[in-house]
Amino acid sequence: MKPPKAAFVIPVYNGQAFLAESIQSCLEQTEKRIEIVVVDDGSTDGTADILTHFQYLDERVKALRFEKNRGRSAARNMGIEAATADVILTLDADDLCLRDRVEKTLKYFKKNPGVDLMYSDCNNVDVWGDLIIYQDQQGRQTDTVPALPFDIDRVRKTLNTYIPCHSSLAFKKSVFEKVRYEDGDVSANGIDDWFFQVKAHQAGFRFGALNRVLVRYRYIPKTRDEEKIRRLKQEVLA
Amino acid sequence: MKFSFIIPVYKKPPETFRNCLKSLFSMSHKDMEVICVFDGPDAVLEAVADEFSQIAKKVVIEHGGACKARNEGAKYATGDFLSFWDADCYAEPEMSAMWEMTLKDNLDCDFCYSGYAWADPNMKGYESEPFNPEMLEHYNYIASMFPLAKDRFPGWDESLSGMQDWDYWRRVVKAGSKGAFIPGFGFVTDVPGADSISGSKNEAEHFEKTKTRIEAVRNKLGDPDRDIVVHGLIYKRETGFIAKTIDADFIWNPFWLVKPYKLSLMVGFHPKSLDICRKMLDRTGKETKRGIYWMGMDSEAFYTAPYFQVKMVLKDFEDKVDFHLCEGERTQNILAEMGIKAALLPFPYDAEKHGIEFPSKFKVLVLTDSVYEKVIHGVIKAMPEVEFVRVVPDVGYNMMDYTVSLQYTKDPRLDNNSRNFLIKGRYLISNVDLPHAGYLPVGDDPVKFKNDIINRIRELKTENKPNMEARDFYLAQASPEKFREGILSLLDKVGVS
Repeated sequence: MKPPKAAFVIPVYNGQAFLAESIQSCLEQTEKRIEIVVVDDGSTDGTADILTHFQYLDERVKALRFEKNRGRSAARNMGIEAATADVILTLDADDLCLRDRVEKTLKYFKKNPGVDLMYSDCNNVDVWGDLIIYQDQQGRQTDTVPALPFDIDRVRKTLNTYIPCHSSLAFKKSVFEKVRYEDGDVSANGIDDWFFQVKAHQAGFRFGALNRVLVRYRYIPKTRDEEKIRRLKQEVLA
Repeated sequence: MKFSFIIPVYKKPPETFRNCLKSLFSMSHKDMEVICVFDGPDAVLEAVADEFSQIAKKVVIEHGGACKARNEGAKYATGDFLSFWDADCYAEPEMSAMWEMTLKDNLDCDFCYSGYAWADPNMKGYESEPFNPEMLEHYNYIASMFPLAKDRFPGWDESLSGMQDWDYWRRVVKAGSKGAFIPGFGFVTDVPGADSISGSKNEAEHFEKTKTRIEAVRNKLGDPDRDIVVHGLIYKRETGFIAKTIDADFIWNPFWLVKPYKLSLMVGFHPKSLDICRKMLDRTGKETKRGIYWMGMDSEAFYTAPYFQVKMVLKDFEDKVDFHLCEGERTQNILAEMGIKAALLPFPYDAEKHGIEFPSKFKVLVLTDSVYEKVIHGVIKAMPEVEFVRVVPDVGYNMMDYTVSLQYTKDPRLDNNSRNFLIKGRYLISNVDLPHAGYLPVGDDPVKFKNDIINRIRELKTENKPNMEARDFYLAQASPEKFREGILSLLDKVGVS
């Protein structure tokens, strides 16, 4: 078999409710030369059964497993290390890719050789996979969350918005040689993705945005320690 | 396999007889013989028979009825199977080929049978039903034309004036023979004329004749004189089982109600069969205590029917029905809303006949409606390692092939099938808040709900053993003894020993 052109890296912890759909959306890509690295971060639910099923079904699925829960960052780092392809596509265990995500991503990197990290528009979907419709600033009904140009000043100002949707992110493996996902508090509070992007920017890598919907981000309201998150973010931007 | 067709010929239009013979000789299966027995000399019909050189034997006897002619013809038969054909029946080209195939496939059977169509295309054919010796004691569903192994031939009773075929097949089955049912229509028969009993337009006369004939057969075969009768047109199978459980006569054709019973129970009261229900109640008479056993489906159908229609129907039946029974709590509630007080008597369950037969492969049946469509679809997608089968309209399925049934509907209920499912030691996961129905409400947190269902299915898959608690619980509720006691207590109240 020819070596894969791109690798999906999916960390999962007790994600039986949505994992199968995510993996399925990767397997249905128009670009067949891919690998799907799923890192089971010590799940205690049916995650292992689902992974066994997909490994049996398709050899492109590679499952790794931590015996103990070590956090999302550790899982991401391990997955990226295990990936053999040059392009890494991130995906969370509850999000979905559209069928042409890999194809469009690879095309974009080929067209824009200077770009190291690319991201795209995305849809927000709810628990049942239905598109979430909202009003944009012009008052129009839309389901698309646009990928705005990466602007560190606005990120600094708002701390949260104006950052790419992490599940739509794709980067060359060379980025990972310098920047890794951070463990500890950052990972525990679920902002390792935000940190990774800011640090990649600080390390001088170039971002590119593709204005086309490639992923569906599952919006599930969660309670987070907002105060702590703000402090952590301010520290890294200072 | 050689078939002998024995045709008693008596007063038939020559064209009819000619077409009948033509149809027999143009069948694809050629290993056969035709024996014509003229029930009294008839120059015209004998001339028709002479047109066919293939006829093996022509006999002319003194007129003495179809049974005598059939017995006479049987003496000359050389085939392996005897078919007592009628001169106004037309065989389908593949009929005897089908017979041979079926009899070869079912070596334990001494005869086979199917339904038949009427020559009038506007009339629905008679479909007959699968072989069941118990049902044959209540009514006949096998026509005389079907092939019986020669060594099993019991002879036709020449003393009977009608229903000879019922008597004939009952004696065949009593002697230990089994029949194979072929779905579909094997032949076409003329619609009986006004002079024949089945075609009589005068209802009273028709009834009198039927009564004498049924009584003759029943007396001859020594049928017990029963106090209770059950009627059932659309729930034949269920009604048959109730008849067996409480030792009652079972009637689905109002004309077969030939004696006054002490108690009559109508199983099923569906808006679609009102005419026949009305006829049945009218025939039963006031001296009989009359009741309706409401099935879940009926109450639903009435509940969704227009209000005035329901009112009219119920008013019409008010003074003809003495008591109401129903099979489930939901049915009881719906009936109460319509102003009918019905006592609860769960449908009896045949535990002996139905073991657990736990499926070897873990499969989940999915029953859901548009309200829960999305929720359940999410669960199915989340568990690719489990085989889910969705119930699709118009596609048949056997519920008993499944270990778990996932049932989420906007009006949660435990129907008869689901209860039987539990009795067979299977599992439900549903939004029905009843014992052992696997109540798991959707709640406010959809992710938690989804995880709960997934965990439950995983748990059941790992265990994979029968649900004995649910089985015992529902078996006790629906035991045939309980049902019998319930009905017999009614009989006591009527004042009968």
